[in-house]
Amino acid sequence: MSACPGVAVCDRLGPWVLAPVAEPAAGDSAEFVRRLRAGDRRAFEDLVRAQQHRVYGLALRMLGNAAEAQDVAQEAFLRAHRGLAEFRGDARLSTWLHAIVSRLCLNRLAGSERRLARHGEEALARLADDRPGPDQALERGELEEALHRAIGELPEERRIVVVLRDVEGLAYEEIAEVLELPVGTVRSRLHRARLDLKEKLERFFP
Amino acid sequence: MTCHDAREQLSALLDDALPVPDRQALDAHLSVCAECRRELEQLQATMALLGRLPPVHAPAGFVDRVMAEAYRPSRPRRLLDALFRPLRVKVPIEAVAVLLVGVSALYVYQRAPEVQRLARQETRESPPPSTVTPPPAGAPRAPEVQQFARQEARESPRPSTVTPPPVAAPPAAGTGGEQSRFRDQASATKRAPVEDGAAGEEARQAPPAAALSAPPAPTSPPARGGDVREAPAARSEPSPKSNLEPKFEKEAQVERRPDAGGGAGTPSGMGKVAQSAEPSPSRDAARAQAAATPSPAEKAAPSMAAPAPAPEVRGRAGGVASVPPAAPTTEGATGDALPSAKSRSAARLMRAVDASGRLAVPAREPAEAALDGLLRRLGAARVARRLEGQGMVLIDVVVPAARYRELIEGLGHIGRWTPEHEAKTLPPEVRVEVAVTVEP
Repeated sequence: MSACPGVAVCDRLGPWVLAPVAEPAAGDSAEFVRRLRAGDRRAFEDLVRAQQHRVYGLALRMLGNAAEAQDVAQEAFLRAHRGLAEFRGDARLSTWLHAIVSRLCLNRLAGSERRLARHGEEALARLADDRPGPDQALERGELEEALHRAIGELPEERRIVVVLRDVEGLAYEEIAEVLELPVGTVRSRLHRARLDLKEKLERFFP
Repeated sequence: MTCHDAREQLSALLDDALPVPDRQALDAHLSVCAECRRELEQLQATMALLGRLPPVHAPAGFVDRVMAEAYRPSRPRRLLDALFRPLRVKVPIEAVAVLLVGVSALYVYQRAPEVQRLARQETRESPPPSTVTPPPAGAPRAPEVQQFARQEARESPRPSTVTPPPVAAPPAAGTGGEQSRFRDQASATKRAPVEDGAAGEEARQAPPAAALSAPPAPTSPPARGGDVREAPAARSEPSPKSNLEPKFEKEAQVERRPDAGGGAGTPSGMGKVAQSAEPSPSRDAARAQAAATPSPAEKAAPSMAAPAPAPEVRGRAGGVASVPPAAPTTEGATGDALPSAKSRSAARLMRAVDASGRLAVPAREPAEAALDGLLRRLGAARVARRLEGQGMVLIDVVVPAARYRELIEGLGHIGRWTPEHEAKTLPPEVRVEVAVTVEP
C-alpha cells in the first residue's frame, strides 16, 4: 500500500473525504454553519455525530488514555458549542475543532508530561490488547503496540504534527492553521517525527 | 544537491508538498543515490505503518453525553427548575407549606409568652410549700413538730416560722417502733369515731401548755402519733370533728411514713421533755387524755407499745392538746391565716384532693385574681397550680373545712362552678382541686 497517492488525494479533497473514519460529513455548507451559529440543536448534534471519532481519535493518539481522551473530546465539543458564535466562517469547521482539541491536548500534556510518560505506554498497550486476535492479529497487535509506543515517545510538538498528518490526514496548511505555526515549521517537525518513528519501527519494515 | 539536503525534503516529497523545481532536483538526486532512495523507502514504510493503525471510535453514548452537557441549563436556571419545575404541582405545595409554617409560628408566638408567665408563677408559688413539705426520708418531722409545740406552749407569736431543721436522720427506729405504729394506726382507726366528740372538744379547750405537758399516759393510744404530725397544721383547725376522721388519720400515717425514723429516733430528748413537762400539766390536758381514751381495750395498747418511742406517745397527747391554741386566740384562724395556711398546705401537698370541680370563667386571669382574694379571705391557700391542655389550669387549694362551704360559694361567684367530686366526710383541711376553664 503506497501512501503517496492516498496522501495526495487526501490533500486535494481535504480530510472530510479521506478521514480515517469516513463519516457522511455534516459539511461546511453556509446553511449548516448558519444553523449552528443560530443555536440549532439538531445542527450541533449532527456536527458532534460527524466529528466525534476524529476528535476523540486525535485526543486518544495524543494522550494515550481513553478516559482522558473522552474528557478532552467532550470538553472540545462543549467549547465549540459555547464558541460557535465566534466561529469564523472562513475556516473549516473540522479545522476549527482540530485546533480546539489540539490545544486542549497540548495543555493537558504540558501539565502532566511525566504522568503520560509513565501511563501512556500502558494505556496504549491496553488499547492494542483490546483487539480480537488469534494468529495474524497477534502480529498486528504487536505492531499496533509498537506504533502506540513509538508515537507516545515522541515529543508532543512532533507527535501532534505527525498524528494530524499521518493519522488524521490533515494537509500541511491545515496543520499550520490548527497549530498556528508556519508551514515550514510544520514540515520540519513532521519530518523529524517520521525519522524518529522510522528508527523505532524498523523491525516491522518488509 | 547533497544527501543531507535531499533527505530533508523526503517527507515533503512523500506528501507531494514540494514545489515543482525542488521536486525535479530531488528526483535527479534520488536516481543516482541508492542511500537516499533507501531512506525514502523506509520513510514510506513508516507512513504505511501509521496508516495501518485501526480507526478509533468514540465510546458509545458520546454524542448523547456531549449533547446533554451542552444543553444543560445554566446553574441559576437549574435551581429555578428544581424549585418550581412542574409549576402546577410545586407552587401550590409550596404555598401550603408556607401557610402551615406561618400558622404554626403564630400559634407558638401566642403560646410562648403565656407559657413563660406560667413558669414564672409556678416558681414563685412552689418554693414556700417546698420548704415546709415533709423533708425526704430521714429528715425527721418530729423535731419540727416538737419545736413547734414548744413554741406554741410558749405562746410564740410566730408560729408560722417553723421550718424543718435540716437534721440528719437519726438512726432508724427498731422494728418495735414500726410495729407499734402499725398497731397505732389500727387502733386509731378503730377508735376514731369514739374520739370524735370527746377528744375534739377537749382538745379545743386545752391550753397551749398541754402540748408539752400531756403525759404519755397509758390512756393515750400511741396511734395518736399521727396527730402530732398534723398538729402544727391542724392547730388552728376549728373543726375538731374532721380531725379525728378515720380516713384522715390513715392518710396522716401514710404521709408520715418517711419520717418514721426521725420520729422514732428522737425519743430520748422528746421523751424527757414530755416527762419533765408531765408534772406541770394542765388539768385540761389530762382531762383531754382521759376523755380521748374511753376504751379499756385501748388502754392496753400503750403497754404493748411500750418499746415504741416516746414521741409517739407524747405526740398523741400533743396532737390532741395542741389543737387548742387556735381556740384561745380566736383570731388565729383569720389573723395569721396566710402563714398558717402555708404550713397547712405543706402538710397537704402529698394528699389526694378531697373535692374537685370545674370552674368555668369568662377570662382566666381576673378569675384567678378573684380566687386568690377569696382564698385570702377564707384563710385558705393555693398549694399547686399547673397548666393542663386546652388552656385549662388546675389549681389546688387547701381550705379549712369550716370555710369549705364559703369557698364553694365564692367559687360560684367567680364563675360557673360544677362540682365533680366531694368526699363524704371532709378532713379538717380540705384540699380542693379547681379546674379553671375559660368559657367565652
